[in-house]
Amino acid sequence: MSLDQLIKNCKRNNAKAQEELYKRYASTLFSICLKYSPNYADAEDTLQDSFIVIFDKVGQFKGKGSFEGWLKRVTINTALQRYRKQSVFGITNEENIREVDIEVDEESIPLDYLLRIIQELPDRYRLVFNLYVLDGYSHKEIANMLEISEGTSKSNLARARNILKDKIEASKIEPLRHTQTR
Amino acid sequence: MKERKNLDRLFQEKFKDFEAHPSDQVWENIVLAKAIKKDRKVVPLWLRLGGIAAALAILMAVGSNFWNSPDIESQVVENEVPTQIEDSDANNTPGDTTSKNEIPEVVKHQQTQQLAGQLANEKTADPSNKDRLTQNALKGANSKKMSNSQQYAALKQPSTTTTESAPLENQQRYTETPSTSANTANNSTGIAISTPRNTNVKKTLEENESSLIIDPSQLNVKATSNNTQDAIAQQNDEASKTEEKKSLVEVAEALKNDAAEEAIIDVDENPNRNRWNVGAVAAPVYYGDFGGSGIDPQFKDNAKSGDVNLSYGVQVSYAVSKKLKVRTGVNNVDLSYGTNDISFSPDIAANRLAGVKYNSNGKFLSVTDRVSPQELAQSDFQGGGSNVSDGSINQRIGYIEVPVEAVYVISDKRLGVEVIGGVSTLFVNDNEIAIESGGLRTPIGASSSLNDVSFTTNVGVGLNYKVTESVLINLEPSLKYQLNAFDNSAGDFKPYYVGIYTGVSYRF
Repeated sequence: MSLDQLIKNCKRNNAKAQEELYKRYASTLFSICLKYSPNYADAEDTLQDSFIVIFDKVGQFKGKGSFEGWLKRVTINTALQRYRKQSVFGITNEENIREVDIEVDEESIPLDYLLRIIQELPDRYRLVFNLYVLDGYSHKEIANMLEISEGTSKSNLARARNILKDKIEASKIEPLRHTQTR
Repeated sequence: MKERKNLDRLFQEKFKDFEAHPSDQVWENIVLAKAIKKDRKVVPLWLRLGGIAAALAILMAVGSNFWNSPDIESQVVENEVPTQIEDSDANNTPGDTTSKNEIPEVVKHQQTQQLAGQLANEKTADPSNKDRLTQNALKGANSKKMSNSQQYAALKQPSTTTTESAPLENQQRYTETPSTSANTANNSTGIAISTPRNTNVKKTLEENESSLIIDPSQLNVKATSNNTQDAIAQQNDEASKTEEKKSLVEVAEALKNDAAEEAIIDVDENPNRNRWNVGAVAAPVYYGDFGGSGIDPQFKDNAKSGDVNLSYGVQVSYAVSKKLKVRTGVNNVDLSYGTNDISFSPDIAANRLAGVKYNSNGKFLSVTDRVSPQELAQSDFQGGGSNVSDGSINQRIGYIEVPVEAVYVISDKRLGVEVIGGVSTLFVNDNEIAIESGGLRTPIGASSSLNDVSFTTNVGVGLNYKVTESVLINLEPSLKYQLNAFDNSAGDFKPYYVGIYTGVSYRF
């Protein structure tokens, strides 16, 4: 089934087409859910919610832009809905907001570990870091999506970077204690 | 190989091709949720056909929804049990039977919900999850949606929610719990306990027990800490939704849920986009009536001819949700109609018409119902000559109209369909009565029975065509029935006007 046909059938609420859509995109979208959620089980919930929204709203996809892009946006938004409510207090001095460099042996850091330390970030730090660094949204867009100010978005990002950096460096020093790194 | 690396780059590179497979359970849950949702979607169909009445009911339901802050409900539910029991103990007096006959209704409602909740659990929960069901059930019951719909169910029967009788029911339910030890049974009792509580908890809370509020973040933490619970709690939630088809107010709730989901999509673009709509409208309006006369009782049975005039104005609407808009504006409305088959003659001591405030010309004109040819001949004989003329009375009224209307959106595609209902307040700004005969028009005064401020009830169907996302062309046939346009001194007039409102509007 071509993608166009698949979308058309999904718009008609065809159960087969929906299952096919799920099979094609579940892994891609689940990776987003994993990054935006605090743990694996929550990520599954987010994925489930996302697909329910996708099946419900697929009629609103008008063919502008890629379908996969639309699916990703819906998924990200679903995750944001879940986690953006929890506010993070604290103000970071603007001077601290800069790119963070880190000395690493790239091969030695497993993806699983990076994912876990992302998941361990406080909700909003995690959202901002994902949106900005991994999904390429601007601070302006993030501010809009999370209903926060641009300054808050920037300071959240800086804090997220610092936390991640600390954790990576700690893991470098004591590579055997990955599991205890908090 | 060690190198100094930008942290962002490190993550970007690592996550570039990151994919992960969810467990099969996720798809099963989606299928289940879809099935439950399908049930729910059937509901609004008849509602749509319900038209205006439904739209107004929804407006009220949404309104009351705003008053009942959902936060408070979900906070209280968890820790209210002991207080309730105390309450009901204290209130457990013979005099409490005030509304007992109503209570079973509430219970029935609960039971249907229990069943639905149970069903959802049994379908999805594998054996390893069973031991959590009791908690899950409680969690499901605690969810906002459920408590809302419960509250509506209770509000529908005002006498049920007296603080005395409802706790009594709680008490009974609560004490039953220990005797039913099976998991699923527990599950349903769990719901049963917590649901009625919602209604009176709200009440007691309102009364002043604000100390019972717990930190909402506590609930959040709990929700995220046990995900299996969470997942099943959500299904309970879904199951509870299926029960929401019982009444209009619950449907309104369902619509709200829709709106909540839509909000997810909205973020996609811009959360506040397209909520406002401003536009200009113009309409040919036809003035008609359901009987009576606005001028004098003697003209009640005369034929009347409504004229077509112009109404124009501006309107602004705000989308409360995707399905519901509220609308107001200002219109200028000109209306006129003729009362045919009248006769008039100059007369020093002219008979006055009941509903006319004469000007200086009119005072000396005697206007009557059409004089029969015989009488005419007689009056000729009496020397009146050709003084009696036939003609019609033309009444012209101008209003400034301020409508307040609810718009229920049936379809928001490129070609949109809406149902509109509401009221308008009319302020008179033009008022003239004239006699027309043989192409001549002679004003004789103004109406004295016309109320300066009056109201109409409005119903209409709106069609719009979206030229772009923001620019709409509208076509809206409407009927506006005037409630108190005239006082009773004239001829018990029941006017209405019909307009085909067209215009262009801009939404942003």
